[in-house]
Amino acid sequence: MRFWGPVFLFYFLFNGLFASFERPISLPDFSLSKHPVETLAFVNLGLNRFAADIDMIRLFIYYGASEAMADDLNPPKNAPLYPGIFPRAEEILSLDPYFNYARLYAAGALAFNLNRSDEALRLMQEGLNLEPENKQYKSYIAAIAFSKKGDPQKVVDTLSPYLKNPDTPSMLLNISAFIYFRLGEMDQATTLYQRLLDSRNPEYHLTARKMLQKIKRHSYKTVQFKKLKR
Amino acid sequence: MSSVISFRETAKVYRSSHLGRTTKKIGLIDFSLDIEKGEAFGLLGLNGSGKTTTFKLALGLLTPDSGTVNVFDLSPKTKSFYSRIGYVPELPYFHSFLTVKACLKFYAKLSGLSQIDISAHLERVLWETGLVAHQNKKISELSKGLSQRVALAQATIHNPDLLILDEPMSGLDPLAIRDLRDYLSRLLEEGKTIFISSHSIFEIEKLCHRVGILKEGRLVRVLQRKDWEGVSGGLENRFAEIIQNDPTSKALLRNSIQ
Amino acid sequence: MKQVWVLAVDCLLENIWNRIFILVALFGGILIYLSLLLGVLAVDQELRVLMDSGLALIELVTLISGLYFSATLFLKEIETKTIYLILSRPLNRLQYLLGRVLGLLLSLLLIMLLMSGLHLVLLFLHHWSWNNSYLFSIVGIFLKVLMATAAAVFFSLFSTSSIAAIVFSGSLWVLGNFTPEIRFMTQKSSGLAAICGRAVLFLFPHFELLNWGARFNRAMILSGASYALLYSSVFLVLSWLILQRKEF
Repeated sequence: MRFWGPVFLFYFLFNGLFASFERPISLPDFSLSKHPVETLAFVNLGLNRFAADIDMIRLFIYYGASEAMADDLNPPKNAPLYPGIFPRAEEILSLDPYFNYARLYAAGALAFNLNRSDEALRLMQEGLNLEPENKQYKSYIAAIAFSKKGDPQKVVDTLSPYLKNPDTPSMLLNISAFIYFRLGEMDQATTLYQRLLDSRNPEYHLTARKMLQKIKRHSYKTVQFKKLKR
Repeated sequence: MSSVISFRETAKVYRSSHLGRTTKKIGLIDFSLDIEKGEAFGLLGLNGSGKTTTFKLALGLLTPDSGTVNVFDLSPKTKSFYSRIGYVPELPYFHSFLTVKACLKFYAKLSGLSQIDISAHLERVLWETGLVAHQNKKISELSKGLSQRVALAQATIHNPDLLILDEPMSGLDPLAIRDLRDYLSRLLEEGKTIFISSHSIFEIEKLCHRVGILKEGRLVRVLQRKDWEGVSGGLENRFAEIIQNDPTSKALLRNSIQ
Repeated sequence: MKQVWVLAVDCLLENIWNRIFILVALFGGILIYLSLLLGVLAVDQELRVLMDSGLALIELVTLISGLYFSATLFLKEIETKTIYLILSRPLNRLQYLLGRVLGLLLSLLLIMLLMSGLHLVLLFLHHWSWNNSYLFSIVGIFLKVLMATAAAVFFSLFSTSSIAAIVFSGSLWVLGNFTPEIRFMTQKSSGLAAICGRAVLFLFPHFELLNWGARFNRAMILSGASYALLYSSVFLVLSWLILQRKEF
């Protein structure tokens, strides 16, 4: 029995020592969580990333649902659309702070679709605090700022180097493609719509197909117009 | 003759705690016995009388609370100690998916035999236990009698000097019992020592040179072959007589615990 | 060492015969169902979700198998009296312990390899290209389960019921996964709460050190692996100390 004491002492010492090697992780805000018990269960089993994925799927469903299905059943007049996007994104990112796609998706939806740049900027700033060298985040912040100013040309110019990144949500490709279309930059718009059409995500296939047809018609009219002019 | 196993005033009490309350159960008490080389010693007793406890103490699987157990004058739990002992517990289990040969090979390897020794010993033991024809059968296909032969074969694969057999005849048919007895007699002729327990008094009577009668953890009497041979009713009557006419044992036990 | 290996192979064969393939088949079924379901739901992130759900399932199935195998290992051998046949052989109890634990780990490794194989097939079917982080994730999971298994072996020798051993080691798993959050709370609290928090950090394992995922570096791998090996060794030493004195 005389070995037990030293073995336990050794255990406490090295275990305590290794505790300091752990990366600091902020506690998921369970008060924000729509499914706190489930989230807690996943965290306790060490399945944070998987929990983040499940919440991301819920965010897709939420954002894809009609307004009536949004957080409040009877939202007050002039209430923002999809008020749950930001807290949901915060929860996902507290479970997996390096979930780039989730950050970009939520920030993109908030900034470019719902005109809630402040929330989008907060999400991106948190990302930048975590990864100060992340150029993609810096560009997104700039793009959001240009969007706020109403300068679509600068928005797409800033975003374009990162649109090939696999983490870029299809939604952002769609937004960028549309901006290019509106600006008359049909080559870029075509490339992006074609990418959407080729992707495994069927969400924007219909839009991309329609837009490509529009671009085709537009090009035909432009050629005809130039011929007539001559 | 030198003692192979020697118990001196050995006692073992089982303690179990439940909700802070400790209960004691006598396993063995004041047990003294010497078993000589080449001897077959039988242990007889009712269920729970301490037969298995005696064997486990001899094997070093249990440690005595008081007194000593000495086997081959070697300290228990050492390799040289176990290389000289073969053990068959009551109703042992073998992996049902293994063949007889694979199962015996496994125990031969565990006994530390070299590859060459394994082949030689395997052949010997299969022949001696009559398992040659069944060596490629799976354990699950064997009858109880054949399984018991496997149990004996694993205990003798490393050619031990002492065999400890706990109820080796339980559940066997008369022919299987006869085969087993013949096998054990052959081992005795080779000079092995056998320490055996069985409910089959008839077999113990035929095989053993001496028999110890256990009652409630206490060795009540040790009988020599002459004590039952030629006596009416044989060992069975002597056993019943001793068990029934032992008024002191319970009182002694109670005093010892206190 | 030869006898250790013999015992390990015996344990592996028994597990293969009894349970491994049922578990792997179950895993495969759930994974294929998940991949079909997530393919529809996860849109852009189908691959990530397929990767994470597969790894999570691999971790859970290996953990449950590890806890179950280790908690029942010795109790089952006592029940079937196999332990008497083994311990009455010329081998010491350390060899017995190491042999059985090694067999158990080989069984878990085999389960993991089969599950990973299935998982990789599904990933490649979804046009995933190989990344070393997958290998490190699998090694991390194995090391975490190794720690939990070593603890379960210790608890199984300590207690007389396999359920108690599973509950103890399962609790260790849950609390060990929560230590980064406990550390976060400890830093923000004071007084008794902070003392309790620190005590928990000294007492419970830190599985976060082995959650390598996609972001890892050499230092993380070295510190995580050495921690896991040290932690498991301590529990094996404790198990050996118990086994030395244990009566059967």
